Amino acid sequence: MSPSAISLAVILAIVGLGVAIGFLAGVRRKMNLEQWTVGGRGFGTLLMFLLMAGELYTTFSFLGASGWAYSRGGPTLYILAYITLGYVISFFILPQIWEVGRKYQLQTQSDFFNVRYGSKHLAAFVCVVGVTVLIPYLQLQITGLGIIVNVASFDRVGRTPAMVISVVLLAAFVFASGVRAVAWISVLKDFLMVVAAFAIGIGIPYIHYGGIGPMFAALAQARPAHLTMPGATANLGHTWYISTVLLTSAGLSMWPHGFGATFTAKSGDILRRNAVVMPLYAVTLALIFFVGFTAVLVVPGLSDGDLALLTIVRQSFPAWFLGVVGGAGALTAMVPASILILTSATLFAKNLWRPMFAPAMTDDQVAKLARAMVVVISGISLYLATHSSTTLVSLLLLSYAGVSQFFPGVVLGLYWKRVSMPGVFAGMITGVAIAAFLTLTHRDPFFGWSAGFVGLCVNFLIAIGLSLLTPATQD
Amino acid sequence: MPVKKPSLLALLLGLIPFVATCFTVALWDRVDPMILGLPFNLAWLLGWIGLTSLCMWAAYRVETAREKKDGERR
Repeated sequence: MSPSAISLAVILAIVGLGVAIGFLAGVRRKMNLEQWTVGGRGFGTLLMFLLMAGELYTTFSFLGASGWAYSRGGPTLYILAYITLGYVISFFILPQIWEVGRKYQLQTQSDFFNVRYGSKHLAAFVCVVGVTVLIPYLQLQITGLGIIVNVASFDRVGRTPAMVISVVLLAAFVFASGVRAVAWISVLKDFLMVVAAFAIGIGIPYIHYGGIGPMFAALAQARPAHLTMPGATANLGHTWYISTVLLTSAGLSMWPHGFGATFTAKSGDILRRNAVVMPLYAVTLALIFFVGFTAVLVVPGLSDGDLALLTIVRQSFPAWFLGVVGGAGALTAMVPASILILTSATLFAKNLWRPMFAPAMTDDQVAKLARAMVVVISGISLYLATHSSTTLVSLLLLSYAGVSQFFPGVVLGLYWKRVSMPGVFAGMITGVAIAAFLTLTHRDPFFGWSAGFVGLCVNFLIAIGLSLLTPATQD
Repeated sequence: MPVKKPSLLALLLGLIPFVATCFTVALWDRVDPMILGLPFNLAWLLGWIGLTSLCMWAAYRVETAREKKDGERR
């Protein structure tokens, strides 16, 4: 068997195993993903560690973070800071959101805005922005799947056909298993991912340099500027770092799929305890950084940094192991992708279409519309993925620029009696418009500042200023 | 709807990691001295991940103690 056949066969076997586990374990039981991440359920310490650490390995951190460490260098460090600080912010808002959710029986993020500000239109706008920001996030997963199949096939399967195959697989996966099975598949994915991360994070610097310390010493000697900011970029300096870290840590708790999951926690205290422990798992992300930094001198000149991790794995390990890493990576893309597809399809049908255009729809019809939207949303993301060459990290930053615009409405709604609906609505529209305009016209970073952060600041100013001029909105 | 505000002490404890890992970036973003073979900025951030957990653990103690006191008063 040729190396490409071996690695592709291993990937297929792992994905097949994942789907099979999903079918066997989750068919008739309602299993919410959040149940894995919150609360004690009597797992052993090691299994618990694997699960919690594995949650942090998404396609973004796995291929994207190593890709940026390779192509950009120092600015990649923002990832370690934003995950940590995002949990610090969650400590001060998630338990409160949970409490409000319990009091008013909330299910989604739009529900929160609807109840707090009593505006159907604001809730619908939140929904539109929510679905829109999930699309680049989904595009990220599809691009990641394309890269995995492309590199694992030793370039025999091109990136575009690989993405088409992946999306068909993904849509089939969502239709066949639904979100119930996802939790069990994520056990396999988390386990494989953590094992793979340790193996390559320690193994690859060791194979090429004899250890992590010598690898950094060599890199510091050959390319000293690569390890600090702005690294290999022209404009990602300290201003960019601060504004991006603030933007993304504010956005971490604002994802539509995560926000909804908050309501399913057993108590607010669990969310608070989660915020204390979760930053610790971010330490394991450093392993992925090591791989990207090793690749700088070992496989220089790659056209696309996102290829760095798999290329160096392909060069350092036998084909079957490339298959294991690729298979783990594929599950890592498929699990969140199916949650994203389901969340956005459901949001569109239930929180946007029915309340705005067809109040008479039955639940059955909503479910049918949601299923149709699975195909539409997958199609749009595939189109975008095949027509753009944006890096994985940039895609996530694009999503963050949008999703963080919910932050002022949530925080002011929780803590400020004077806040008014017109203030929050106008602030959010302006924030989204500024972020979208600056990003789409390639003005990000804007004079060194992250475009989304500029939008967020204006958003806050308008929300506060206009609230002071209009009567407060009582819920 | 406005909910109970977190205590000032807990907020201050939450502010420490922001100062250490975000606002002060210009002070620690350098390669030397290397610590345990890692560039200084990477080692600094990894160390502060642990210290952030410690800060938030203290904030957790502050908040739960306050809630307990409130519960008794009621």
